[in-house]
Amino acid sequence: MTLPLVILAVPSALVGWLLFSTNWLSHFLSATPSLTAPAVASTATPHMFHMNLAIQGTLAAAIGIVIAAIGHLGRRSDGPQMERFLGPLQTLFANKFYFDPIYSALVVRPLEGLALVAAMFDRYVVDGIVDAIAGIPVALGGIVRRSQSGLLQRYALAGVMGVLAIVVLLAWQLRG
Amino acid sequence: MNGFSPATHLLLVIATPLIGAVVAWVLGGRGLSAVRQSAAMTAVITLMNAGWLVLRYLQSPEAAAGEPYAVSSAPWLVGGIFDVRLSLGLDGLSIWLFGLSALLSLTAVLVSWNPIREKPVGFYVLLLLLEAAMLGVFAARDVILFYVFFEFTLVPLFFLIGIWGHDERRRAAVKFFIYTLAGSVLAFLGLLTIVLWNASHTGTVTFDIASLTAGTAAHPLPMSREGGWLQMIVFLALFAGFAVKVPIVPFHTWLPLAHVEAPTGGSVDLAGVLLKIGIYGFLRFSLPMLPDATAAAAPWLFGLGVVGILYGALVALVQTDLKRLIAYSSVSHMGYIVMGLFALEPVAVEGANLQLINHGLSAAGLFALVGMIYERFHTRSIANLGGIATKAPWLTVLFMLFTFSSIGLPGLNGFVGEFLILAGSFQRAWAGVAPSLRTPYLIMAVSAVAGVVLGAWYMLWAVERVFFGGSREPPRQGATGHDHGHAAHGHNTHGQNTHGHDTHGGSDGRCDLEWYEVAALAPLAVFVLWIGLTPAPFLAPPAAMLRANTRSATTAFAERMRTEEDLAPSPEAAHVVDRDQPASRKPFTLTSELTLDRP
Repeated sequence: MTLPLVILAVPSALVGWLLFSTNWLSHFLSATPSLTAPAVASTATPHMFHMNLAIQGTLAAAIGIVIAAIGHLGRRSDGPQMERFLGPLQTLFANKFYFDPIYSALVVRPLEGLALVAAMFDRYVVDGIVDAIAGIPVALGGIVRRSQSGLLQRYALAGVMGVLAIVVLLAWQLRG
Repeated sequence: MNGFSPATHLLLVIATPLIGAVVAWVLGGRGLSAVRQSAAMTAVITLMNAGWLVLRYLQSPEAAAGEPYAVSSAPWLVGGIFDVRLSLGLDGLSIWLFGLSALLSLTAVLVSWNPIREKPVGFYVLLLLLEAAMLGVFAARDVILFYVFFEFTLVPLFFLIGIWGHDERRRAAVKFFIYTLAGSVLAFLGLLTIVLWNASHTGTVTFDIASLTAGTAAHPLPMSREGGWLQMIVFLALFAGFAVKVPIVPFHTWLPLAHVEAPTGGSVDLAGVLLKIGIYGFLRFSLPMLPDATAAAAPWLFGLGVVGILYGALVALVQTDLKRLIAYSSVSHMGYIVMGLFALEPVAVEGANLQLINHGLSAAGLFALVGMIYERFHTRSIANLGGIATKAPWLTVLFMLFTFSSIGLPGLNGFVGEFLILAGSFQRAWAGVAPSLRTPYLIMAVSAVAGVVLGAWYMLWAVERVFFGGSREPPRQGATGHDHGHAAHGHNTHGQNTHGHDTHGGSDGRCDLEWYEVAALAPLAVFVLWIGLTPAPFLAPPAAMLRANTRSATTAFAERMRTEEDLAPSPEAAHVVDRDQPASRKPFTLTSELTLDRP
């Protein structure tokens, strides 16, 4: 297992210098058609290698390596030793910076709650409105249906009143 | 075989399912086998025919020139002021949808092979009628035939859902039918208004779509107070019809019910093709004939699209029924298409058009697979399903393929459409709107991207629960058994499909795909991969028609944006105005040769 690591370590150390000192990678990538190319090209230094950023990144990595080296080297890397070394940070690291619970509380649960609200809204409000609109003809029909009583007297009465109304209307029109 | 005129070919393709329906009806007396075999034969013949016609179109000079193909026109009412003809034909806009209809009809027939055992004659006859109607909608070149076929798709589905569906089938069928019908009647009124307007200005009453497009371009409907905002009213009327079909939130509530209660074959056709007819209507009628109204409504509809994405995704998140979850995912995905369409940006419109095909393939595949799961386990409840990967690995593989396609995994078809839509929407938001609208547009575009994440969330969660993890069997169906998450279907009411013939579930619990299920899904899977890996041949045919149909709406939108910038031409406006001019800065489209925007 160590042999592949050793073999791979050499190019790993060199690849950054190789690619960026010759700008080979950036030339290769800049040939990609891009929707943002005009925006990038219009900045002052589109192809610059940002040295301070590289230094910061490398420094952070180096500090981490040094701390880990202090913690591990010279002691057996067993549990209680590391715990004492890390001290109060132990629980923080063990729980992965509590990232999962934070994420769950900040993003997952609210979205699930929102989803539940949306589902309720969909089922009762939106669908409710649709069903209510569908109920309008039914209700109207229910009202109008009352005239179908089956009682001949009512029909006769309606007929007579209709004739009366027509006569009155005609008389009024003819008079005027 | 070049003497075989394309117009006859087209008529033959549309007539084949009708003839097949008659054949299936005649063979009804011979039993289930005869009926379903003849239906499958018809579907295969129609598909091969349609595929051949599509190939002929792609190689034809008309396609290269952007002209309609296979046009046949029968005079119906000609004379005096009337020039009403019934015409059929294909063009770039309809060619892929035409092929998709034929393909999905075969899938629908094959997917119903096993579960439909009661009254199969009626089922397959209706399915074939539906196929003819779908083919006709996309082949129609005049308003009358379009509307006739548009309504004609509703009737077979009404019966398919109402008779062979699941527990709430009656309610689902009625709601689907009336809701869609109400909208499409309003749409027809709008179309008639356009016809009459055109007649009053050109002197002839014609229903031909090409003539109406030219007519409304020459004499646009009024979009002003004196004209009574007629163009907007007609746009809203058409919107009523097409929005219900798409569906655009909040006119979507028929969809979960209809999809869940429909038999699997019905769901395949419903999700795969019928939803696309709504967007097709927008592309064919609203955008070219009512460009100013479209431009005015575009921001709102863009927003509605985004709302649909998020709303559909959120509601899908809490569904316990697998089929209902996929139904809401359909709502969400159609939201992308609406968003892309009303971004009115060439890239986005091309993406939306491709996404029609993509969604047709993936949604049909997902519904087919859910149907297969239901056949095996008699439940769609996610809580009662689990560990299917061990029992049906190939089913799992295909389900994952269609899931990834639906999520938009790069390499599959969904990614191409989604990417184009989002890219075009961001282009519109960044450089194509008035400054006052830029923030809302950007917020909406970013929300749409968030919708992609939501889409992955609910789909992968469902897949993990249903396929992986511990094996969960629903309680055994028997005299006393009843399904927890799904209302019992033990009572075999008249006409409901029985599951008595359980050909799946060998003694070791393995119940992988049968030959007809593989045959149903394989073509879809092939296209999912093909479109995903090489989308250019699929983007090319509709491109010219899309540009033509959206040109006036896009310029109208640009005008609106410019006038909102206090009439001062700014760099953004210059970009927007020059979008159609090839001489200046060329927009990024995948079908034009790749231009790199180098300074």
